[in-house]
Amino acid sequence: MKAEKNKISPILQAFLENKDAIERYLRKYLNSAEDIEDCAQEAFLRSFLAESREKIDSPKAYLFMAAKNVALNELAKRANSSTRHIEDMENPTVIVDEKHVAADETLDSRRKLAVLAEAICHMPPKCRQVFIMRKVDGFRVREIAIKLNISVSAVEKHIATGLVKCHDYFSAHGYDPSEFRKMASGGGLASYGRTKALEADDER
Amino acid sequence: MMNDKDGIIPFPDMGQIRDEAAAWVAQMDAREMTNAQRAELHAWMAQSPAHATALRQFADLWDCLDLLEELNSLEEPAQTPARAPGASWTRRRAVGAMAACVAGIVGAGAVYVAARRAPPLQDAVYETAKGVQRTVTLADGSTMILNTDSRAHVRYTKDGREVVLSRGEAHFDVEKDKSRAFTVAAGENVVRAVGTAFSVKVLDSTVEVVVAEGRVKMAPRLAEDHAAGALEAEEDAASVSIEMAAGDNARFNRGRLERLDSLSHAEIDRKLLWRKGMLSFEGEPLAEVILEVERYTDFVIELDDPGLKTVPIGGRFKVGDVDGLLNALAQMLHIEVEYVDEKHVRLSRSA
Repeated sequence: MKAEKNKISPILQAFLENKDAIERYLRKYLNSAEDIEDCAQEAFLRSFLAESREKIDSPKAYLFMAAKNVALNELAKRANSSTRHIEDMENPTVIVDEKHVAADETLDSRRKLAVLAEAICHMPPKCRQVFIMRKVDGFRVREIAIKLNISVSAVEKHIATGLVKCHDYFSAHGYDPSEFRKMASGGGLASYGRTKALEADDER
Repeated sequence: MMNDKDGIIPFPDMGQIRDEAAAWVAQMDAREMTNAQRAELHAWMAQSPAHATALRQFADLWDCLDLLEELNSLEEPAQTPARAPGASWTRRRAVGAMAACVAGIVGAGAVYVAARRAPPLQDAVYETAKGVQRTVTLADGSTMILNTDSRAHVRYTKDGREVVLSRGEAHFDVEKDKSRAFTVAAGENVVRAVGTAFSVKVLDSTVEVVVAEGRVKMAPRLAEDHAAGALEAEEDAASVSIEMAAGDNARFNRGRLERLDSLSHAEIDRKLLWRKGMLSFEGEPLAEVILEVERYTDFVIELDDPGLKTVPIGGRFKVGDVDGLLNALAQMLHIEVEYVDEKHVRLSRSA
């Protein structure tokens, strides 16, 4: 029973074991601790996705490779953005002042995404597969049943089991699903300090 | 676990409730529920408040997992494996669907909550000054976000939930309550909703409505003196009303429909960005941008050169960050910013 419980996905396992080493490795490319952490997280998400699509022989090596790619992409993006203003001048309809906002929002949603991915990693392998097909690939339950050659009620059982695991993971870490949901629907305000501050201000 | 046969009422087994709630949500996702199954679910939820809560929690959890779809944007094209054909068209875009579904069932059955509590009443006026936004949770759990310089009178009676928006802009996230419709009166229009999310903006004689979720019904507001009786007035109104669905954006002038567009998800988000304290422009003429910005501040922005009025503007700005906007204009469009006084600037083309 206990052994079963500890069987988290190899990628998450490798990520948790090597997080510090990956971050040290990223220092080669990036300076700020925050950027390094973001890159490491992004590398985990990419590897998690890859793991859901194919078998990964060496999760640790894969994570390092993903981290390097993410860092290089990030550097390339920065190199481009310094020329962006010049391009914009030629096209006077665009004034770009969205950097800080856009970055804030992606960051937030990336972090949430990482939490969800971790929760999925704690599910038994079959549940994990079913969840990824349902929520990432967007297949319906009936389609999943056909693809995996199992019954609809078997898919349902995997989903129910996975949900319980996910729920337990959330409660163990103090996450509240409703906050994630609001974010997903784009109406999230709870996480926006500004509105909160205004409200507090106004409420006397 | 205690045995029923001993005549001892078992304490609700949280583990079991949790497992069963998860199973219900999985079932609701997998198939259309029959009436019998709905009834069964009602009976299940009615066992205790803990049952109803657990179901709602799992529905929320299920919906929040929709965020995982974003992982697709991480995939690098080079290593994308052959995707099952049809993966994209089978994708269901149903954010918040399960929670809404559960709320519907709870509402229809009126199981635990409604039977025990009288409908909450309220009578209050909320107001915001320029540059201030405010989020209010109403008596029934619905939320109202008031934008800058707005005024709303909220009146909940046992028969209805009414808001009169006399000035400004507000976004409503309405809790479902079939017995008490939620109405917002603005200008010469009335927006009626059961459970949904929408925004209403009043500006001079125009009323603009954006529906983010669900459906709303728009009806002309009848002047009180012709209304023979509230009920009759409502019936009349319903007969000439128009229905709007998620994504619809309508503008009314003196109660008459002027424009009705269907917006994409991204456009809706952009329209509603003010709730996060941001303004977003995509090619609107400078004159319009200035009007919008001035809603949030006492700043007066004057255009010296009429040719500037039509210059298209794009970008996102923090509400109230007039300096940031002016700086961006100065740098990008070679516009000269002259401070007439502390709260008054004049824009002209740089020589």
